[in-house]
Amino acid sequence: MDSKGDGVSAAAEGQTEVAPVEQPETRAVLLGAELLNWSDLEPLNAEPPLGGPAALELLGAVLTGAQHVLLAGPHTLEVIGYVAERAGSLDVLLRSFADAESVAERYDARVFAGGLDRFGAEHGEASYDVIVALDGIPRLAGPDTPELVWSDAVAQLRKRLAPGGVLLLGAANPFGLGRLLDVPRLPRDDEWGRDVEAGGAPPAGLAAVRAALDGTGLATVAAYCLFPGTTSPELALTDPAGPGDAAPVARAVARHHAGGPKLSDPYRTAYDAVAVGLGTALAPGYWFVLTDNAGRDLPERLGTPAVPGELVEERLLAATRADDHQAVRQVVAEYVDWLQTQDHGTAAAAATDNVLADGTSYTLLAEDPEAPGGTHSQLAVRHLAGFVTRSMAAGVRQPWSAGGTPRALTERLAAMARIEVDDALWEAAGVADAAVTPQGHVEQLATIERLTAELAEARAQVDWFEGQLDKLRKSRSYRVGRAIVSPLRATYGKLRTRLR
Amino acid sequence: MHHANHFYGHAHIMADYAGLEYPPRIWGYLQHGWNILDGFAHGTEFVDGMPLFVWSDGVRRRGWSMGRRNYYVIGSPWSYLLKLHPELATPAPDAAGTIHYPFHGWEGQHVLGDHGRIVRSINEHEEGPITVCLYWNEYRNADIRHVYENAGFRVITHGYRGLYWRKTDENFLLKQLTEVRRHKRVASNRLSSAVLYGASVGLQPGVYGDPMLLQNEHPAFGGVARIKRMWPEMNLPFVPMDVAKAFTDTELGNDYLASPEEIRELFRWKLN
Repeated sequence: MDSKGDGVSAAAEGQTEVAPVEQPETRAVLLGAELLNWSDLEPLNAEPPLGGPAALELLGAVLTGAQHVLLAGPHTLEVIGYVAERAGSLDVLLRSFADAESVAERYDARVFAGGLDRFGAEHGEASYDVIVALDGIPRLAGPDTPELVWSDAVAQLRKRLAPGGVLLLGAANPFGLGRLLDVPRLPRDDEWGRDVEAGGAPPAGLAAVRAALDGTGLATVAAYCLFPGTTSPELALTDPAGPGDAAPVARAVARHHAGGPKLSDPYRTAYDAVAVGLGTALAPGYWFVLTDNAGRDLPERLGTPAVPGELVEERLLAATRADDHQAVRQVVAEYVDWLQTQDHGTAAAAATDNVLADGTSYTLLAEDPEAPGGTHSQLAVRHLAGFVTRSMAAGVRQPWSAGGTPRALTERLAAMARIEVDDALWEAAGVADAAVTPQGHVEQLATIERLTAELAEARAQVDWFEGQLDKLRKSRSYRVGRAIVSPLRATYGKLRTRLR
Repeated sequence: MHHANHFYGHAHIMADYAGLEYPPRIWGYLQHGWNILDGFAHGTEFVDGMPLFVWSDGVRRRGWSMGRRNYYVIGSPWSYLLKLHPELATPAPDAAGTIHYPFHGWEGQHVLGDHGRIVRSINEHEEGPITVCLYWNEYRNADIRHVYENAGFRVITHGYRGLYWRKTDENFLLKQLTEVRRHKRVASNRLSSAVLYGASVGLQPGVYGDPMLLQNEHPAFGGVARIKRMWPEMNLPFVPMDVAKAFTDTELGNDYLASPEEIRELFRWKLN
């Protein structure tokens, strides 16, 4: 790799003019400070590029009729291709040389490789109708840009915006759900030490970011809260609140955090946070749509439609947490009654965390392409066992002793729907009869406490039954019976020996 | 499990409801009478972690506050009995008068009071034929029985509730239901299970007269005073029917009745 692109090639001593920088033959325009031996599009030990369905949906709403578009920062090839198809002309700014070359080869776009600080007025269009920086500011420069001040970078992008243009800007939340869920890890390769004042990070907190954006002279016409993460958000909601939003957010967050150790149960934490109105405050990141054209009409929800009702799972959890036996029975019985009348596909997909209840009317939240087979009773048991497993893994308070495996509680819930679970039905339902693994460290502590209490109860029961046996053995009726039976047994034994 | 599970033939009723001919041991403790505390007699020794099967949610809540766990609200055996006997769903054609239950003690706790005063209070409030139902130990006491017989009342007993799994009159509650159906009013000198049972099937309840003292009654229960403070609307000679219905539905746990399958699962019973 030719290193001359850094723009600081040595000038011979005594020369009065700096020799022109020799540009290697590249597809991309090299700005300087491009990141070598590095790819944001295919990272080895770094964050992936920004992408996902919500981004495409937002771009679809914003790009209509856009002539000149600038795409700044690492976005997936899918996003770049999507923008390229819709833009009159596309300029792409990437910090990675390899990424820039790859994108330039692939798309009909002008690609600039290097730091944003090197992206001067002489590069690209004088102004853009849409500037896409959904990935945010920090990845607009590499290690060769020692200082990247967020507000300066935003001002620089804003300067290139045409009147009536739209700036799409992402910003991470330093105290999002991840702080409540993720176990701290070692820093990755993209987390080199940065200037404490000029590391490219946005101001801390949503209010501070909004205030800073107000200073750009652009209006924020929409601010989306991103879930489950910042790089591949599935959902972007302007006002995540209530059970209708909590369910899809929690499902997405649970999928996102499915592997590895966690501090606490992602599903429960996300659901409860959104349900109580903390969705905006705890979103992992935000997208801001900034413009001086206030007439723009944008969707309030990206990635998920508004859904009525509440998950059956949440109704059941609320009832079990409150020890409301009547409610537990009613929710289980009504849900299973409904399930029994559905076609197989619906019944198979109707896990309690996939069915929305609105009164006694039920709808599936999402189809399940891997829906299991079996009779309706087997499916009901399977779904109830799934609920029990999840609630135990989430360390949720149970009204009754749960024991080590979910089977006992599943049998109880099934009995409420008049289904008796014997070994054959349990096996046919295809439920793994294994101990529940608590979701996170919080749930582990809760499980240890629960099992300790249940073990103490079991010991007390053993002692009590032992005492009862002792009492029986000492009782008169036992001793009289034995006095009669013992000689008879001895006589019978002797007779049998003789008869042989 | 506990011999009180079999009082009044409760275990037999539950077995009948669950489709069993004879009740096996119940895995847990079954509430055996209307209760204003944790569902069980004072001093009942519980084994940790064993389920406590109670009639109503109020009992569960109070019990939890006393440190008890593993409650399961299933409603009263009386309510299951009503399901088992649809032929007794309506009053007898010749139903008339009042069945009165002087508050009873048991073998270990006798009531202290003047039965003569109860007779006077009955005469003050009731019209029509009177049946007085005494508990077994009082029925066997000729002096007590005569007080009521001499007043011109019909005196009966529903039987022996049993003790230590022996001599339980399996049909105790069925006899009670049959008798109750022959009357239009149910009365007692204390708000008690019998009043609830009668009111639950539409007899107009009345509570009046000397409430009598239960010998050595434990102060944890608060006695009659607590009952009167808590349910003043039920401590009247003529309780409005809608008030009585709401009260009995709550206290007998009529919204909490479980299916036979659920009872079998809870009690750890298997069909033969």
